[in-house]
Amino acid sequence: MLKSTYETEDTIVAIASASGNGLRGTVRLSGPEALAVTDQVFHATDGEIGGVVESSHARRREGEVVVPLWSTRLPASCLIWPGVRSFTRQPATEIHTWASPVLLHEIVGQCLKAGARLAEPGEFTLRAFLAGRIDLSQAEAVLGVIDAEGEHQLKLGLAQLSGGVAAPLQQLRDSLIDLLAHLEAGLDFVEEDIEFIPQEECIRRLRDGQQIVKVLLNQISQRGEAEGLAKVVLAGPPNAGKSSLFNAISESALALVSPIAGTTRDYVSHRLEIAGCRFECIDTAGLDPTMDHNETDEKAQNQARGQIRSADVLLTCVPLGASFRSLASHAPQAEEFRVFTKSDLQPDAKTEFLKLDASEDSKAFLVSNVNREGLGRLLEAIKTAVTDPHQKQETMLISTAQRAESSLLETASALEQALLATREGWGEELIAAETRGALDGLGRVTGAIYTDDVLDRVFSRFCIGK
Amino acid sequence: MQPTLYEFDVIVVGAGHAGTEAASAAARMGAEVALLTTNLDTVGQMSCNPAIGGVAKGHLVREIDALGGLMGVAIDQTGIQFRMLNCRKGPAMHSPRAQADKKAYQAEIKYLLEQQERLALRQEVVEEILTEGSGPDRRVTGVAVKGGATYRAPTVILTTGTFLQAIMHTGESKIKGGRAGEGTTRGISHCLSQLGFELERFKTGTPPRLNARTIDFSKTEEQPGDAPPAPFSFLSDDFKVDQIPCYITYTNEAVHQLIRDNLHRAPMYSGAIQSNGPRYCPSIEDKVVRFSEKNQHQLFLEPEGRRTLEIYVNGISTSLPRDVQDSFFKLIPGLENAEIMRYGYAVEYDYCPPHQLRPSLETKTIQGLFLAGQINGTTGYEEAGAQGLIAGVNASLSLQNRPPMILRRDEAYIGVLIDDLVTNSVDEPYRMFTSRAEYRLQLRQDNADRRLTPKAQELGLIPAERWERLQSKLIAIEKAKEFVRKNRVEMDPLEKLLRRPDFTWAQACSHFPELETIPHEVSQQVEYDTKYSGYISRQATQIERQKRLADKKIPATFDFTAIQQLRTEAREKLSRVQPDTLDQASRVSGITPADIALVMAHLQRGTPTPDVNSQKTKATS
Repeated sequence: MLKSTYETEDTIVAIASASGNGLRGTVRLSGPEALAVTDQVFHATDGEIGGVVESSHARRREGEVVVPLWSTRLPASCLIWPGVRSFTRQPATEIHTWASPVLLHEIVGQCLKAGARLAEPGEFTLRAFLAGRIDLSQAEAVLGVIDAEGEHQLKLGLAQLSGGVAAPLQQLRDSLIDLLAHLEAGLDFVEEDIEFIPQEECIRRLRDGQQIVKVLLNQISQRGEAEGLAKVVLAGPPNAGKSSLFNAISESALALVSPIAGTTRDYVSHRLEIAGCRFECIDTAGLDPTMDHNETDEKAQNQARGQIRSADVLLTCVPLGASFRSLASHAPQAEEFRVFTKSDLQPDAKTEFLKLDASEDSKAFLVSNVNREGLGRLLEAIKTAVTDPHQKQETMLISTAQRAESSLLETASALEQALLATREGWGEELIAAETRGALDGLGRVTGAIYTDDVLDRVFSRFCIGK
Repeated sequence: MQPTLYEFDVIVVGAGHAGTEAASAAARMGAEVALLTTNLDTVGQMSCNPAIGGVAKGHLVREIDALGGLMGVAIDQTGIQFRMLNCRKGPAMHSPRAQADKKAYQAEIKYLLEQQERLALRQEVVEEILTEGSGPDRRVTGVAVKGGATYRAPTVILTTGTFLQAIMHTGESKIKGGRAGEGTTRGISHCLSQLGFELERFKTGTPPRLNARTIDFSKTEEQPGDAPPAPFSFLSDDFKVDQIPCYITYTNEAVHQLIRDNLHRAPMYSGAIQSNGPRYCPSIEDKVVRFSEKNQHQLFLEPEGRRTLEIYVNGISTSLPRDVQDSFFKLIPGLENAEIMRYGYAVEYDYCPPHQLRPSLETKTIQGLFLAGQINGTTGYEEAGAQGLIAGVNASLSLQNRPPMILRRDEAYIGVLIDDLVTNSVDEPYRMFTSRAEYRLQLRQDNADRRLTPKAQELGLIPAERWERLQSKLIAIEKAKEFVRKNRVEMDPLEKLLRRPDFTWAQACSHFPELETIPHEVSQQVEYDTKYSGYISRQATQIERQKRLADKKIPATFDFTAIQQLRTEAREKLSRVQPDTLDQASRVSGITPADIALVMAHLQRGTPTPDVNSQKTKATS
């Protein structure tokens, strides 16, 4: 039932720098407590006395942000508007520091702990509008896009957290609604001969729920690092030379972090930078619909499909000479490049290829991992594709991962309370209240409301009615 | 010939549970009221089960009582068995229910109405709703009745229940009428369509009634009332009742087989009835089909009164043909020789989908016309009574040019009920459940007076007696709470101990004997408030937020279709519901926070109406 509201008296926070690119990152806050919250995160080292919260006029301070995650401090500067001169005519701040997504998420996380809440999509814009800083048509342009694409973006965001965050989320939601239906049936239909859900069963379900939340939180914290970067995904049949190409690209580009080999994930991902342009490059398991799969293979195949679905740039690889099958239909928002590999092994085919118009096609590439032929052209094309102007315009990046994480923490704490209430025998109405709290948390991730679902389930499961 | 003309402030059409509460509330607030019914002998009649209350419904009755309504007082006078349901759960779940002496109950309601100053209870058949003006200025002016008379009033409340275009089904036979032995009201349905209201159809059912003389109760389980019984009304002291038990028996596989064999003769399955019925009140044929794995279903044998042997068989609502009804009882323990006095039937009727109403229950299109009760797609005496009371209050307030009383979802089940109706309309007959109330931990049946009686006082809805009672109770509660806050048991504050689920007031008394003098109705409030205090304070922030959104009014003329950027779905839904506030808009199903942000932005810039270029309107703040 709970929906987030655009409450202007809350202090809100979000990462405000352009996604994936640029050297500076910005975290923006607005609201009555903006200065006090910033004070918890940013420490001035410019020799002046007093913290952010003591500022009496708009100004800039130099200092450090504390990063407990890395047990370190990093240089940062802070713009402070203590009064009505800000973009939103509320106390506001901006913390400028390195453009590392991990760092920015960490700063936002600390702001949340200090009492701010994550901004809703378009919320800074709405405040700016309400403050008379921008006109209706400007506000509408931003809000309208969010409105129209909200659901799409949510799905996209969840898909990006691939490796199947959406599926366990759905499973968890389903199992909690089911539990709630049992609890509610016992509360609302006391005169029916319904067997109430036994305590052990209730505990078991809540524990299962906790387990799923734990796994999801883990998964999200791993993905969170890479989120916000454009995804370049290598796909194609087995033995198409994807992995060699992946290595070649990785070597040519600047690796931002060391490769993470798939333990929980069955694919390899590198975060790379080409001439200041950052992206995530992902090698997937070869897609082979004809093979008999064991369970492990099946999982790898699903992982691969998940990655393909969330790709921004899809490098569909096939050995030169083999027939090309497009995967574009599996990757709705991706730009597909046709990459013909192992060009050194097939001189005839290569000649053929060069003769054809295909060589003029800006989306077709001929590469050899041995002599690095064609690699430069491919890298240049990747760079152009991931610096899509549309992405640069995204001024208010609100991380789906962070939103999901903060909501799931809420769910986790409600489940903990529900378990306590169940064990201590505090009464089903309190277990139900906590279970609802857990579902509210989930609702903020999935956008789904559950009230009707619960009643539907009660009526379909139990013979209610005298 | 000049038609006879009567002048009133408020006209209420229909004297069921909604109509009687509406008329009484309006008259208590000072309006001159005419309550018109087709039959003075069926005022306040319980058409279906002879009971008041139940889980969540009991909460509604307590709230009606806290607002000075009739239902609680009447059932306390005429109840024959009282039980507090859900006692083994926490206090927020406790819910009173009572079996009524059906005839005595309706006589009591009629008697209460007859005593009410400014209320004219009259037998009339209303044929037409009169209006004047057009477009947004159209308003109601009164009603025309059979026999050439006209009742004029600036406000009319329609509470005509299941009688609109009703058809009763028993097996293959169909009879026009909303209740066995009575007719139907066609004129009003027709009139509502003419006035431009959408009408839809629902169905509901009722079980057969048996003669107790022919029942062998030794084969059934007895279900006694509570000792001592708890009353519904906050006015009832020293409550004593001579209670009559109910009995429980069960259906069995043989019965189910018989029903399955005759399913093709049930109107719900033969296709004779198409409309939706309530899922929480299925007919026995529905139960057998949908829950075929259950090999028995409970049946409650409920006496209909002290001076009658008629027994209401709760749990076996049916529209199967008479011969099937006769046969299945022969297979049920205790009922082998039972004689049916009235056969069960299903009834189909018109209702007026309630998104056509404002939260005040006034119709959006015709000023001064209010709808309440089953006509709005609800079921249940309690749901009807609650709406009737609110419609009566708001009709009177509109005459006084005062803003309507709209109870919030965190204030009352009545608030939840009406908000659900007008915001998301209904697709099956609406019944109250506690699970519909997200703030149910604070909406307890025992604190309804503390929640609502102050509002009633402010409106002039209650006599001095109720107000004085509450005042002294509130003072006593505060005193006791202070004691609880200030005293400790060894190191632990008493308040903290009371928060523990297993620490009762009786235990507190064992440490502090002076607490024993505190009356139960006071100590109970302290104990329950303390138990839930942690949860309630956590909800406070959310409630505060909703309140602020509720303060953001949306003008009735606001044109959602003029917001170009709004998603099509949001535009359609918001236009259909035309919510009064941003808070209500945020609860329309399928509306996202981003939709609300857009609407908020437009509200800030002035109202977009089809005639105004919203972009050029100056900011108002």
